[in-house]
Amino acid sequence: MKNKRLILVFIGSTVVLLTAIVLSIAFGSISVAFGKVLQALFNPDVLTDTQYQIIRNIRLPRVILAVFVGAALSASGALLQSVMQNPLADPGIIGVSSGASLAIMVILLLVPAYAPILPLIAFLGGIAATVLIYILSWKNGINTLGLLLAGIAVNAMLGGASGLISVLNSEKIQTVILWINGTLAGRSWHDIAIVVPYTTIGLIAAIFCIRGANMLLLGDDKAANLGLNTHHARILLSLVAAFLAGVSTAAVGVIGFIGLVVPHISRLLVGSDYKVLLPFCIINGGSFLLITDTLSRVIASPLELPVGTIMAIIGGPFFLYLLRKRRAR
Amino acid sequence: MNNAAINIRDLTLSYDEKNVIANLDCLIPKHRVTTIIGPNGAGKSTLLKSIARLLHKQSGDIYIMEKNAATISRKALARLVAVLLQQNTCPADITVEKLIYMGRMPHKKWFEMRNPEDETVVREAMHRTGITDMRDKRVLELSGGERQRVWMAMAIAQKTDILLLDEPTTYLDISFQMDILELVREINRKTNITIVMVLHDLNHAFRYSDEILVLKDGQIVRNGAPEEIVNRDLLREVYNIEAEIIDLDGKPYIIAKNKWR
Repeated sequence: MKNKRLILVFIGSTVVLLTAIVLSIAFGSISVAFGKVLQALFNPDVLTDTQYQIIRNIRLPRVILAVFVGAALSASGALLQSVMQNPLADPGIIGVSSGASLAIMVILLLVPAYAPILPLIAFLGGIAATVLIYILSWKNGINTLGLLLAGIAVNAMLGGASGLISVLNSEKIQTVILWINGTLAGRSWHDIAIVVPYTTIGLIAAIFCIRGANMLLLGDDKAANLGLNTHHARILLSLVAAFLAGVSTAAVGVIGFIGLVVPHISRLLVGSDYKVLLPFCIINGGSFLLITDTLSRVIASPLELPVGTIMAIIGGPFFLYLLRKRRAR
Repeated sequence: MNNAAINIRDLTLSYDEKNVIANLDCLIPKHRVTTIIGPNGAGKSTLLKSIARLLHKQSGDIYIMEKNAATISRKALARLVAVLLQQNTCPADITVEKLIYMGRMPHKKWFEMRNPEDETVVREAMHRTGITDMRDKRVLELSGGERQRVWMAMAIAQKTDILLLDEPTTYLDISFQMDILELVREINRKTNITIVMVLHDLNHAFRYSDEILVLKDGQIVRNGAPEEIVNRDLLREVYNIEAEIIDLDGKPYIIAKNKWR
């Protein structure tokens, strides 16, 4: 019974993802009929030369990037929610992404030569933000509400610092602005070559977090009594979450709320067991960012909106809704 | 020494720079029901938690089944001691059976799947606690008393030598209180598991325990069988009350009269 439902949800999620991929390739300033996109899978010659160039060099890398970044941010959010024992945690809201983005801006300004290792720098920035959150909220152990509040404060501080740097150096680095408002525009196969392997590593590492994530849901004392070293588990989960968020931020900038929305929807669909939840967050996260990104391209066409902005417009009210729902309980 | 399940030596525990427990020594016997009683703030729950290694700053040693609790791994400790905490949380959608299965974690390797032994242990734990017919219900839709049985079953599924219970009857009505206490005694008699609990209700403690540990200001002031140690002086000294003590089926039963001065 239960398994049948899971299989149906799995098929449904996969169909949504594949449809989103085809739609995203078809839609845009130069539209290509869906049928043609499907045919082109087997025989690229059905496309005109322009269509082929656009799809191959612009839309395809963007689609792949959206799928991987969406998966990474959603998995990161799901892990942070277990670490903080709070479904309101999200790398974009609690400052992990801001830490990554600030680190990137500083490095790009001071030592642009390090640009090739941006994902690593972003990872370190994300970890620094996480450590800061822990230090601010630590008092005789972890207080999960304090952790979330400290995260929001850290996010505000780091976001402010990023804003300041970008204003002071506006003529120097125009592109830096991109890292504040996340966008998937203008990314190439070169970016894919960085994001895909790093994200894959992060997602594989996330699989090793499943057991700890499930146990932490029972509270620290119970988890410890079941044999879990809760400090080690928290550190491992935070590191993997910061890594996933850092790699994503290095590629596309700060995109908030997806790590909040996707795990929530996935939980409604398949429950809170991370053995099932995490894979679904990965699939649905890919679809969700891809759909949102396609919307951001189409909605005000020919003008293109940053997907981070669209995500904030969708995610803000969603955050409030979750907050109210929790208080009602 | 050999029949001590828990051997505590010179234990000092502090919280916010204040000693909650100071230089405490005690032996808790195997296979029996031992209850820790004492006034608020005496350090009862603190003592229980430190036995399960859930508190950090401490000096002194705790030996559990002759092993030093501070030096064995968390997982090894989890196979010796199960705790039923006062406050429990679980995911909103978890079912009774799945939660009880979490009790098997200390016996499993990282990616080990559910095996027939787990099935047997989980089934037995549900049977013992009388919750078999609720196995597919969500834990959060159960009543307080039923939920407490589920947490008990989870602790039983841990298959430990020792079960610690921190005020297992709080928030329950009298019927469910008796229910849980009788369940505790039955499990102890049938499986020989050593039980250590903290109870607020003195009469419950006396009626359902083989041994009583009286804690006051972080010190053990009396310990032994309830019928041997309970008397008016004890109640005056520890609780500051004047009480009538009657004999109920061979166990002391107290009726508090007024404050002692």
